[in-house]
Amino acid sequence: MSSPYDAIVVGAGLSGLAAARTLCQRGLSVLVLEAAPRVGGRVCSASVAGAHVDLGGTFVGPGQDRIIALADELGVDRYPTYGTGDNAIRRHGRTSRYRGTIPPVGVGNLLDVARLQTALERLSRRIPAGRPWDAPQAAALDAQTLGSWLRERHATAAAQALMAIVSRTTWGCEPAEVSLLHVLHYIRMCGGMDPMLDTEGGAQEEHFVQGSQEIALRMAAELGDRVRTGEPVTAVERSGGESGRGVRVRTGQGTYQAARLVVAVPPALRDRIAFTPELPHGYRMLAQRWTPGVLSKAYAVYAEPFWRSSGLSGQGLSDTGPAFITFDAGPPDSSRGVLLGFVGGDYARQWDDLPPAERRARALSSFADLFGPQALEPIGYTDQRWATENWLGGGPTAAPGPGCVAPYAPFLTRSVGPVHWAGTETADRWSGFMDGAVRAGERAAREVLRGLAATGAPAAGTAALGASA
Amino acid sequence: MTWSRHCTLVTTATAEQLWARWTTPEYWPADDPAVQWVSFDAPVATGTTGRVKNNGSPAQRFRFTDVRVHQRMDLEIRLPLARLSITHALRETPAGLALTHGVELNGPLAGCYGLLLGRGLADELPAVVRRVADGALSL
Ligand SMILES: Cc1cc2nc3c(=O)[nH]c(=O)nc-3n(C[C@H](O)[C@H](O)[C@H](O)COP(=O)(O)OP(=O)(O)OC[C@H]3O[C@@H](n4cnc5c(N)ncnc54)[C@H](O)[C@@H]3O)c2cc1C
Repeated sequence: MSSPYDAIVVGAGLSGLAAARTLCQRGLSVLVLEAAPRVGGRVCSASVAGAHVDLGGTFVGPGQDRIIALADELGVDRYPTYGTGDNAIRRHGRTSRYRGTIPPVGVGNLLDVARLQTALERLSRRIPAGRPWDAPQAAALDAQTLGSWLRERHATAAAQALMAIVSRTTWGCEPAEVSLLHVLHYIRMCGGMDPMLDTEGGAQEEHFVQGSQEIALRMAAELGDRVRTGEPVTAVERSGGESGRGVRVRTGQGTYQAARLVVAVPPALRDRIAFTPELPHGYRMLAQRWTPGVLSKAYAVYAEPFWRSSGLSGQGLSDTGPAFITFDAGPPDSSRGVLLGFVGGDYARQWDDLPPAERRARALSSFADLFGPQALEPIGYTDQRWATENWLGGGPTAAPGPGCVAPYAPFLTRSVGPVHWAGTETADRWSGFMDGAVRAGERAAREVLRGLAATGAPAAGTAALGASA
Repeated sequence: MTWSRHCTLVTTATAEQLWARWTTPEYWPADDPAVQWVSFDAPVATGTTGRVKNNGSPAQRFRFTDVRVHQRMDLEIRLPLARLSITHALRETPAGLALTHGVELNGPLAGCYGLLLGRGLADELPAVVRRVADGALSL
């Protein structure tokens, strides 16, 4: 089979685009095929009543070097997340204020949270980053969920409620749904729970002035007509079997050939592509068992950030829902007030099904619980339900259940002949985050380069040979 | 002494729909799984009495203490040295109707009952209010 492209990339999220960009910079001919009508995948920006909002991936923080370096290269600026003042918490039907990351849940509960955090971090240090299946007692850890572990540790009700907030925000699921091994591996890949959860000094420290999708848009602009949107890949034929001599890639519009393929879609979406010959069994199992979480976002835009004048930061926690955690996501010039509410796990499963007007009413109700009745009078509102996205299936990332990590995680990254895997879930640092997406894309690109070098396949300047519809 | 907790949800359901949800005994167990059954001795009005059976406890008598059609429906259960009020209220807001359910305890032992009984009831309020709004929207 001739190979008109050196590499085809499936998926124009941050990972696929980062892979394609890296390959192009090395002079390779690349084609990116994206199913959706837009690039960005789980990063998507919108304008609401004159304010910019990030409907998907938003925040970045220290240690997320690859996404930050990429944004810098592309001229996408960052600004700090607003965090001045008191945070609000709604708990047991009452709203109160607090400072810092850990809310005022009583000394006993705080000690319990500290005990659990220490235990989780200690366990997480035993998990090799990128190889959770190699951890001591991997299968036993994988047989538990975060929820069962918390109960086994006799976590107080308040500590369990706090961990549920962590679980809904981080994996878009309840603690009873996610494998403990996955949780520990995730913490390991973030370098601890504080870097993962904190605003100041943590993963929520900053966001992008022009929005996170701008990073994808600028990469796509650089790649030009090498990126084709609205063209889902339906089938891949590996012509050379395991030895890897190229691929034939089918979409509704045509058939393309390449020496190498990078599949940069969420693990569950791999199953929508028919591989010939079939991939080894484990890949199928992975796709079926690494389903995405359920996380939605609600944004309300106000003429001004009214909560700031009452000494509130806009950050809040609520056990009432539907929005269970909030942030001030206003622009750097404070020309508008913007409240962002996350709706995740069970809350999202209920809220996502409501008619749009009812979703709005209930999200604003959550904001009013935390910041007062003024929150009921926004000048703009939007929300995004990621679980309804046909080519993504949910977010923020995959949330594998018990028994799904030790046996199947090896198939996240293990290439099959000319087929390589990217996507944030395949990263060995900051997996699940935008940074992990970029890292994974760049890693897959390196694999392609090595693979091409090893097979002596042509590498460069054949892009014009493109498609044969 | 008074102990109280409230939960509010803003909804696009109409006052008629929500009122129907509150005043139809068959909906109570669906909206609050802790309730096994409820019966009213007469149509819902201030002064009407009824009985409610919660899972795991004997049936209790209650009395509607403040009923205003499409606005408010409070009822009271007498406990030794305390009165437990379950309040239901509707209020117009710029974003929709604010549906508020509350638990109030009054009397010398209100603080004690608050800890023993009220906290549990209050923790269930968000789910109950949500089910009432969901149910109302489906009518
Ligand atoms: C609500 C939410 C909040 C988040 N918050 C943050 C945050 O604050 N900070 C952070 O760092 N991260 C956050 N994330 C996570 C972050 O957005 C993702 O980790 C990252 O964007 C994933 O990029 P990716 O390229 O790996 O995958 P994706 O963005 O999922 O890209 C995959 C692409 O593949 C396409 N595709 C799928 N199947 C096919 C096919 N058959 N053919 C062609 N194309 C296909 C999809 O359409 C998609 O464009 C959040 C995510 C969500 C949903």
